Amino acid sequence: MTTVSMTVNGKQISGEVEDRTLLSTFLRENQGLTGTHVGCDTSQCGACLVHMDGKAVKSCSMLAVQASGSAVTTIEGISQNGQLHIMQKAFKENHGLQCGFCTPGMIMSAIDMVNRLGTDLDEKTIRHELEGNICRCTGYHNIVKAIKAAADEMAEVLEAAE
Amino acid sequence: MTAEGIGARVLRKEDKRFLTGNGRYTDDMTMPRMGYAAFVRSTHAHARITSINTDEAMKMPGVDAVLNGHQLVADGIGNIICGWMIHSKDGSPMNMGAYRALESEIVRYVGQAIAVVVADTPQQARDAADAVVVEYEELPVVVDSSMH
Repeated sequence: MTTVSMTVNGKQISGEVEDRTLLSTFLRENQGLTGTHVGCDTSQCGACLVHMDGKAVKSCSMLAVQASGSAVTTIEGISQNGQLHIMQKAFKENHGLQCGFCTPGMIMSAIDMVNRLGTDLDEKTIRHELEGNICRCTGYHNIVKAIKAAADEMAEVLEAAE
Repeated sequence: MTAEGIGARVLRKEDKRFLTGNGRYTDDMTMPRMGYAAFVRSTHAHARITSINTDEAMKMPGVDAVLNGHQLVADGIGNIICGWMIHSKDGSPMNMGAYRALESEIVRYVGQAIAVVVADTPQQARDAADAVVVEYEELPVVVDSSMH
């Protein structure tokens, strides 16, 4: 057993884990944050995507001990004061989800996309960047629309702030 | 869009919980005394199973049961059924393979389920599944579609 400590959604936490414990297992079972989903266990589907120190990682493909000392943000940590994140709101308004299983990974991936590439995203870029996230309700069209709408709104917010 | 009634855009009422990670899927639930299953799967594309040894697996910590196809047969549990049989026009039944939930004689693809372990934690189940020893006698496999 090993002790891991990290910041999860702004809260300092620690826990005892077997060395082989995956970050996704630690978040789901040790921390009870079941919004991070495990869809495939083989790093293809992206449902387990979280942010570690500001970068998108597939939490089923790394060990909890590798994340020790880092700051992790999960789907549960992106709305503030009960207000949905712009990306979450855009998914709702554009019908970017059906069963909702891939949604946490899609949203975390989409936020990372805007963080890395900025708000000026075209459809081709969004589709290419979503390569690591699989939706089996086949809602890609509306997911792409949602991300585009959110990126546009985030651009407006940034402009207004300047 | 300002349409009302038919043709109007309607926002879903159930979205918020899914968007915030508060959906509740089967894997998110825990029940009192819940067990976890892990499967032992074929490592061959086509082979006759000559033995399934579960002795070591049975002794491992947290293991509640290690089951294979022999027990299914002994308990009179049938094969996986076809949900929609389509008989021939002359009334003769549809040709259908005998698919067992757990195969104990001949495996026909890599990954076919041979045994299942139920244990107190997923990790214990996985460890015990890895400790089940299956012996095979390999049978011919098709690896080139042009030959057939």
